[in-house]
Amino acid sequence: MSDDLLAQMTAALADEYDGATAVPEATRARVIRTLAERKPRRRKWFVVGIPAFVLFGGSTAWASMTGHLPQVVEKAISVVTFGAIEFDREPEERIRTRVFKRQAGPAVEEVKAASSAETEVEPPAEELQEVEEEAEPIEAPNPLESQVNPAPVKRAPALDPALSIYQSAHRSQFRASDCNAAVQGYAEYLNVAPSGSFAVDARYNRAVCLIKLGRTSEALTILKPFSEGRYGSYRQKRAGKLLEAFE
Amino acid sequence: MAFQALTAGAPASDTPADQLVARLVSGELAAVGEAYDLHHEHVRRFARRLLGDEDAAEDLVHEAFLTLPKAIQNFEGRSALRTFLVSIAANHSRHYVRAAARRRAAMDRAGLEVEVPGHSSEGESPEKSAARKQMAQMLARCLDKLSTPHRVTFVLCEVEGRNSREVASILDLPEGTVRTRLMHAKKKLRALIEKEGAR
Repeated sequence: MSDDLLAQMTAALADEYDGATAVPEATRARVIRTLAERKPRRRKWFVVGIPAFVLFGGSTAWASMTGHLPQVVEKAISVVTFGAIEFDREPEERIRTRVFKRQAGPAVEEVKAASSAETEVEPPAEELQEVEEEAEPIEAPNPLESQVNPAPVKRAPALDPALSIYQSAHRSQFRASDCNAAVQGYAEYLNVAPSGSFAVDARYNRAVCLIKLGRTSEALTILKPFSEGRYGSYRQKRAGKLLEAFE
Repeated sequence: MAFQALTAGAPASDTPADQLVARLVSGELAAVGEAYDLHHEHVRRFARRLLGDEDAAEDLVHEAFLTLPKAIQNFEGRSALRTFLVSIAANHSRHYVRAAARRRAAMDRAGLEVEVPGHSSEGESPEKSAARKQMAQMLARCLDKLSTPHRVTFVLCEVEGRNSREVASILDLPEGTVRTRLMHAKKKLRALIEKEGAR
C-alpha cells in the first residue's frame, strides 16, 4: 500500500513543482548582473595585485640579499603596531654605527657629535648618576625584545675580538653594574686596541668606574687629558667637573 | 578530455549547441544568457522538485548558472548542456536542501502552511488539486529527512523519471551506487510515509 502511496506522492510532487509558475526574468537578470560584476573585480585584482606582489617580492629579495631584511621587518612591524614595539638593539647597533662613522670621517667629527649629545651636569655626585641614566635607555631590557629579537648578540657575528671585549665591559658597567669587571674589561680592551675605535670611550668609562670603586687617584689621572681637551671637546666638561670635585 | 580538444577540428562543432558551448568556454557573457533562456525551465523544474521551495529553487538556479562559465571548462561533451546544468545544480544543492528543509520545519512549527504556487490542471476539481498539493507537501517533508545524496538520487530517478545510467552520468557515480541509493531512499521514504499516515 505504501508503494502505491509513494508512487502517487511522487507523481503529485512532479506535477506540483513543474516550474511553470516561475518568473525567470528576475533570476536571469541576477545571473547576468553578478557575472558582469565579477569580471571587473578579477581585472582589478590583476591590475593591482600582480604589481603589488612583484614589488613586495622584489623588495624582499633585495633586502635579504643586502642583509637589510631584519631592519625592514622591524620597521614594518613598528609601522603596523604604531611604534608599540620598540626594537632596542643597543649597544651592538650603536657600536656598528660608530665604527662606520669613524671609518668614514675624521675622529673629531664623531667626538663633536658625541659631545653635542651630552647634557649639562651640575654636582659631581650626580654626575655618576647621570652617566648611568644616560645609558639607561640603551641598556634597559625591553620585555618585547626577547619576543621579536630573541638573540641580538647572534646578529652581530662580524664584530672583532677587541670590540667584543669592549662590549662585555660596557655590559658589565651599565647592565650588570659590576664596576670591577668593567674596569678589567676596559683595561683589556685598551691593551688589545690602544688606539681602537672605542679607546677614548673606554678610558672615560674606566675612569668613571674607578671613581665608583673609590680609586679616585687613578681615575683623576685618566680624566686629566679629557679636561685638558686632548680628545677634543669630548667629555671635556664632565671630566673637568669630576676633577674639580675630587681634587 | 577537454571540450576544446573534443571539438578541435570536429565537424560536430557546427551545430548551434556546440557553438554555444564554445562561446561559453571562451567566457562570453551573452552566451550565459542564451544558455539560461534555453535551459532555465529544465533546471528550475529539477530545483523545485528537489527542494520543494520556490525561493530556494531560484537561488539554486542562480547558483547553477553562475557556476556555468567556470564548470564548462571541464565539460567533455558526453552529455547535453541541459543535463550538464542539472548536474551542476545537483552538485551545488546540499546547502539549498538544508535551507529549504529548515524553512519548512520552521513553517511547520509555526503552524503555517508552506505556500506553493502550484497550478491546477484544466478540468481538475478543487478537491483533487488540494489533495495533490497536500501529497506533494507531505513527500517534500519526508524528503527533508533523507540525506542529500539519497534525496537527489530519488528526485532524479523517480520524480524526474530518468534512468539509472543517466543519473549515474549526472552525479558522476557508478550505476550500481545509484541503484543502491535509490533503494535505500525508497525504503526510508516508505517508512516515513507510514509514520506520517499513522499520525
